[in-house]
Amino acid sequence: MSAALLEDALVTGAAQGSAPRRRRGGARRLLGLLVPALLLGAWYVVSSQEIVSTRLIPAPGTVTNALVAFFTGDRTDTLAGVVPFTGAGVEHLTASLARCGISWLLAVAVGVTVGLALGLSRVVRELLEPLLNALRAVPLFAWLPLALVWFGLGEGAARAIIFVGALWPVLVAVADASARVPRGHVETARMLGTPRRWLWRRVYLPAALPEVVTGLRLSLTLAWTCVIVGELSGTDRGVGAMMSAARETGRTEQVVVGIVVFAVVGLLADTLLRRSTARWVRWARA
Amino acid sequence: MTGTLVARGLKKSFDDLEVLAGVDLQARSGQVTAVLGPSGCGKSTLLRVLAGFEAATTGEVLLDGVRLTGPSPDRGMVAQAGGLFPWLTLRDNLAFGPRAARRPDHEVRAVVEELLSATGLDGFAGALPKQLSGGMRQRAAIAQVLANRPPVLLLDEPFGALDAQTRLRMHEWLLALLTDRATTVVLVTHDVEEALLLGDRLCLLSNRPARVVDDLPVPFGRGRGRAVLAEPEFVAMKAAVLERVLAA
Repeated sequence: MSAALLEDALVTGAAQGSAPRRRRGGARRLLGLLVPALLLGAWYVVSSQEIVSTRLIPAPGTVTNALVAFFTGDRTDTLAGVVPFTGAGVEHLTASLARCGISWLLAVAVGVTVGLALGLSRVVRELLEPLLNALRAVPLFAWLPLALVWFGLGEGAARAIIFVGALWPVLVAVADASARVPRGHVETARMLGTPRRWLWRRVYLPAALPEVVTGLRLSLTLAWTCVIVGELSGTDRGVGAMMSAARETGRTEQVVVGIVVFAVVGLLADTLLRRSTARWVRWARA
Repeated sequence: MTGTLVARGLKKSFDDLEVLAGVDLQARSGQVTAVLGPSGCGKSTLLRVLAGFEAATTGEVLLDGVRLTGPSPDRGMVAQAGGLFPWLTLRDNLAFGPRAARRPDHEVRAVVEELLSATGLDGFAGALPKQLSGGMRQRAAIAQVLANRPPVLLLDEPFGALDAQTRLRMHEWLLALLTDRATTVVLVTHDVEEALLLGDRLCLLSNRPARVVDDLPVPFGRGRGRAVLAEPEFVAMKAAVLERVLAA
């Protein structure tokens, strides 16, 4: 056994030394702030020199003030008569997040279930794949009139649109990845005594997880971008609803506030999802 | 422990390709039956039929007189690339079989601890398969299968992907591991030295479609180590068997 132990020691040695890599990662993250900082500087110059009308590109200060007012101001400023702006940030954001979260979770549940069925069963695949591929090709905006007819103006239509947008990336990722699980893993699991009905849980899903996580991230981002489409359907709460009201009243700085909120929340949500799923995909990283 | 594995008149064809042309084989408890044959002769197919991954076209496989269908924890199989699940740590890989059998947690833990030390991988319980060397991975793959205490162990060139020195170490490790176990082992290999070093019996297969052309005892007792490689009888038998394989 001593030879084996020597070999083990060599492998342990090779497995260490990840600290410098992490430090370099930190420096690289700072590098990622460089371009936004430059753009911010350019923005400041453009608006302070009035190179472009502030009606088209509002000054950074104006946007910052609007942003602060959006979250902390008193309820005085109401856009287009029904959509509040000042002090309504949390309310709009909560409405958008709830809409997005509910629809995304539903899309994940349906996407994982149908995706696994497609990946594992040839019958299901032959039965559903042509239909799903055709439906997948329908542009998201094309569903909007139908969603409005079915669910009426408001919450239902918004949720339906977000659901449709978020569904495909999960479904395709799960179906693809589970269909490509090496047969050897399935055979090993069967040979070790795993009943057929548990293979999806013990083999297919874990083997597919790295790609599924990618699908989840794409899907969450898409769900978040679909929020604005969904909120065009006549809701009066939500970041998208606020933006469309701001556009109607010509408040460009409030439109930009909406963009900033979408960007920051989207980035945070993706980071959170990536962090919380890192444990599942550790094995697949090179 | 019983565990007599009998194959009777196994034939297997894939479409028009006949791979097994009626193979008869008997593997006894506590013995290593080495199945030796030229590359591409159908050795792996034979083992896959014994494991239950493939159904024979005709013929049957019996374990202690009971006809077998499909894979089962009774017949653990380890292939060249190893069966470890890359997403599980070594500990969870070893626990996979006992958990599938719904053994209680404390038993699972005990089995895992025992196998970790039997494989010399005590310090690596939390490691992922990709963090282990090739030799460690193959030891772990064999341990994963042994966790179910199968009466039959089927090995398909388990050390084929390893370098020569590591392979020799693995041979000695496997011999030591099997010493205290009444496991029936069927080892498929194209390597004459491996077959003679590990086998108690030697089954020679013909070219495809495979038949058993020879079945002989290997006269070097259990507990042999690499020293046997230099003995004149071993060298002579190796040369003779190699001739038979090339002529088959």
